[in-house]
Amino acid sequence: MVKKLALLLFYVMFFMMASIYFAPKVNIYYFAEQQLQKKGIVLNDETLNDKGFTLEVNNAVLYVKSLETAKIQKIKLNLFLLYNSVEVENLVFSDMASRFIPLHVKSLYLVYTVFDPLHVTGKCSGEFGEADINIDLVNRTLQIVIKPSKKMLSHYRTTLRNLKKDKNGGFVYEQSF
Amino acid sequence: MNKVSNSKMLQIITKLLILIALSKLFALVLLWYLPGNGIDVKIKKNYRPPYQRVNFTNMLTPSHTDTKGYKKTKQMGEHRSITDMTLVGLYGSKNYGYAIVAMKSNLKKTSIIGVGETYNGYILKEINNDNVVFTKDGKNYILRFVKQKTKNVSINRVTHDEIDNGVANISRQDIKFFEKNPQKIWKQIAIKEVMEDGKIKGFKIMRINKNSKFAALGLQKGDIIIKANNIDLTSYKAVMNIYKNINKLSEISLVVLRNNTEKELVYEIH
Repeated sequence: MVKKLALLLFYVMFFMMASIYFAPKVNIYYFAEQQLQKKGIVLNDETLNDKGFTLEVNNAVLYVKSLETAKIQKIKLNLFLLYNSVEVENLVFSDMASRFIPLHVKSLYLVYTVFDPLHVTGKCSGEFGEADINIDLVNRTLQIVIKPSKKMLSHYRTTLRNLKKDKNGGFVYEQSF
Repeated sequence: MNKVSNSKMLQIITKLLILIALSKLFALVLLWYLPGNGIDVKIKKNYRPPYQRVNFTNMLTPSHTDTKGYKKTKQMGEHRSITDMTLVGLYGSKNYGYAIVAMKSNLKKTSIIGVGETYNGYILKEINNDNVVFTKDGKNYILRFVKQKTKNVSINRVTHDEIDNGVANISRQDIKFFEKNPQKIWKQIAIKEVMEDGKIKGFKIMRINKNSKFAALGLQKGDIIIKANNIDLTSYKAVMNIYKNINKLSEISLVVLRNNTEKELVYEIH
């Protein structure tokens, strides 16, 4: 009985992995792009690379409401159905933002799993320091807790002044969507 | 052979191959419903606002345009009217000054033409009491000033602000200060986009400090800024393009919607 169950589980897993491998990830990305465009978010000039189980997006330029907002060297999309993640490497904000935040973000990692279906969580690090990200999908809120770097503390005090300070010395940015 | 076909391993491999085929079929069905192309943004390179204002200083002195070739009009009967243009206003006399003209099809879009300058292929040659004279291909054309007509045609016509005869001054130092300290802007003024049919119509002033630089420029709470330097402010991109180029500008004109009437505020940057 246990052997049969194990075999069934193996077949299910195999089917899922095969489905992920054969899934038209580039076209799924295009579909996601169309949905993001409705929110005024567009990735431009990117090159797409289907790597079997992951999709890599290289050298993208991010536009928010038609404004060039950032350049992103690499985005890695891992869609495993039960565990999905987005890895962003080397994001550089547009010069327009230079008076508000340090421009270089080294990495951003967002995770969505079926074990926590109501939240997207993530971590981010860069010149600004480090940040923990929490997206509440039910209440449609985004919360970013920033642990600022020395550079952020010394040069971007005005930005930090607009954020709430938490008990642990972090600065909280909240936004609903 | 019989042993091989009955072996457990072959059964498993067969099932796995069937699963692969099924997953491929599933992918193909999915592909059928998904878009085949991504979204691309077309970016205009080297964008510069198309706004051009007449240099008032030049208007009060003889124009540099070569007008030697034009014959002086002696009899009014020799002229012909330009039917698709209308004269909204004028300033000056004879060879000095400017005319405000518009096409009858779009009376809201006015243009200020100095003597010697061209509008739709017609060169403004002369300014009289109630008309202006244009020339084209060696022929003279009169455009008469009809006050009643312009009043009747557009109820919500653009009107100039009362500040200093329609033109106010902005200090370049102030611009540099706000550029360095953008957060100070939002202490003095709060602006929010106004949406109409899902598109940005303009930017509404939600709050303005009465003692601020912005209030001194004639802006009021409730004003909806719909144009800047003749560019429709229907996107954040348009606003940011003006913001990014503000150092290169010597004039700024804003069209605001106040009490459902368009009002033009013109500023010179010194």
